[in-house]
Amino acid sequence: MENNVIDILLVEDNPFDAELTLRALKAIKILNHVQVLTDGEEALNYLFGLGEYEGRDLNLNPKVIFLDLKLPKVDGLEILKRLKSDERTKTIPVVIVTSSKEERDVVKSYKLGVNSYIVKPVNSDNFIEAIKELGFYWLILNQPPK
Amino acid sequence: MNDLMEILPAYLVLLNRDYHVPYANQFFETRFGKSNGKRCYEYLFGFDKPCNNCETFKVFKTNAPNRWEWTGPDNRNYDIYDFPFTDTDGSKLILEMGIDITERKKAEEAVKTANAYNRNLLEVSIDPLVTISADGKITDANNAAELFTGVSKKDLIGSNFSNYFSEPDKAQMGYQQAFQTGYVQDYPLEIMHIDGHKTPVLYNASIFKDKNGNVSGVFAAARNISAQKKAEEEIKKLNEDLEYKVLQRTSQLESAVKELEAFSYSVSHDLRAPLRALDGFARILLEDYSSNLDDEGKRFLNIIMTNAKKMGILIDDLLEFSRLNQKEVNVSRITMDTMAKSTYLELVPENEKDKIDFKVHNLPDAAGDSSMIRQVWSNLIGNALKFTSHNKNARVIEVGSRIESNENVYFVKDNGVGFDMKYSNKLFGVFQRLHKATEFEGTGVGLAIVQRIIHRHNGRVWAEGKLNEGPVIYFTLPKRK
Repeated sequence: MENNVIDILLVEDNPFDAELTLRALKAIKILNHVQVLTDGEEALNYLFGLGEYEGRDLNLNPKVIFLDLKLPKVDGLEILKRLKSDERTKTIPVVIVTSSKEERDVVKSYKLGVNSYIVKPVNSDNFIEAIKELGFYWLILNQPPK
Repeated sequence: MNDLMEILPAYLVLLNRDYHVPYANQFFETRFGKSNGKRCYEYLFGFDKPCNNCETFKVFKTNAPNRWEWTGPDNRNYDIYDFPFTDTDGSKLILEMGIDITERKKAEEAVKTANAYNRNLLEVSIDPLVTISADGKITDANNAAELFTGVSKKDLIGSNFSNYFSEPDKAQMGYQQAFQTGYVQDYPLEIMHIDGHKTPVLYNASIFKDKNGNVSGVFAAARNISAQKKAEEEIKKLNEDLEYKVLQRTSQLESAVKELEAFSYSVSHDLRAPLRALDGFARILLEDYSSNLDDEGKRFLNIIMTNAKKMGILIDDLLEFSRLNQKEVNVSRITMDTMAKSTYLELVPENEKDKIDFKVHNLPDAAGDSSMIRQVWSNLIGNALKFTSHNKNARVIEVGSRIESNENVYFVKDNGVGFDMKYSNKLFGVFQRLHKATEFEGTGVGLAIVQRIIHRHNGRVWAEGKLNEGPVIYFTLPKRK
């Protein structure tokens, strides 16, 4: 169990999307501090220091969470809800990165307090561009809370 | 005195013990002739001996007056009064007075016949008919009343009429109403049979008055409505069943729609991810392994990527197409010419504007869903732009209309490559293409979407055209009310 500083927590169950994402982040040189989790339950455990992540220092939170919506066990919206209703995790920026263009998903996410909603393009070069821009924006341009 | 007897409008005779008629008045002689000394039975009836059981002669036995009815030889009826009479010389005679009651009897018979006729009418009626006195007792009842109550006429008569209803108080109220307003019409009640079963009826009653104008009672007739009530119950039940079925069907339909929605949603979602991977990893190969690939190898990878992107568009189009049926049509007024113009300006590439002759005539306003109709214009004008893009000469796109009696017909005409009319029925099918993919890009869903939208607006779509001679796509929208 690590107590490293994590910049980006990527919660993505599709290994191919995950691979493309990491490739993009590597291209802008922020790959070192990326943690990938592949199911919703594991993500919750990590974020709240439960289960196999018990004892994790909860003061060390990722600088941004890239969250997919369709996840096994616990879905993205549930995770978003928990994150935004807990004092300890409320301030972590959450970017939903998902295939879903559905209006109801977008509305629900914003109502729960998501910071940004990105639709994964089918076009992989657009996808990679989008990830690069997200990485740059949230880790470099955007001013996080201390 | 003599004159009085002679002018009486009744006959007077004196009869003695041996049947002679010592005196007969004018009336008698006019009717029966003079006796001329003959005995009564001889001259009246032509008999040769006295009548058997002669009523008149009973007086000699009883020495008391007798009154009886006689039919004379003239076939008229007489009311006979016989008296014992002692003559001046002491002999015992019978004084007989006869009053002609023929007319009276005829009248009586007529009344009897009429009564019998009327009574029959009452009795033959299938509706219970009763007369009720001013104090609420039944004074007469017909057969039907017996049937409906299970009580005999003689027991009905004299009893309280409200006893025979399931709601006696309500019956009383109806009776009071009749008294106040003179009649009661179609008053609903239930007659109770003594065995307990009830018959729903409608009561019609009216008061009748005596000679002095006082209300003596009420005539009441009941109309059996059990058949109607039964029919009403059936209809009610059928309606309830129908409503239930409708509710069921509606909820079935709603859940089918929901299922379809969920299906389309997950289909599009789940199909996009592998496409991204196809496209993405082909790209990675191209980028990271380009030194290991010759031109052909690179070309193959490009084909893979192109097709993956295309499939993505197909999925989007299909999703849009299936969603159309679920969207509600929000009707508002649309200025069609403004919409057509603005759609054209959105679609036309800047650098081509001056090469295209785009004409929009004045179009009648329409009633429809604004975003859906915009999509119709977008698809049709977009098609016109696409299929004129290979024109060597001028590109002309024309938008116009025709007003018919109950609909407006709009059209988009271009002078592009057109299509063969013999395939026109395929034009609006999903994914139907009449040109090779290499000539014109597009998935072939555009016109199918147009058709679906127009159909949802209760309009029609069709096309006319010849190959290499621009087509005209027509669509109609019903006139606004």
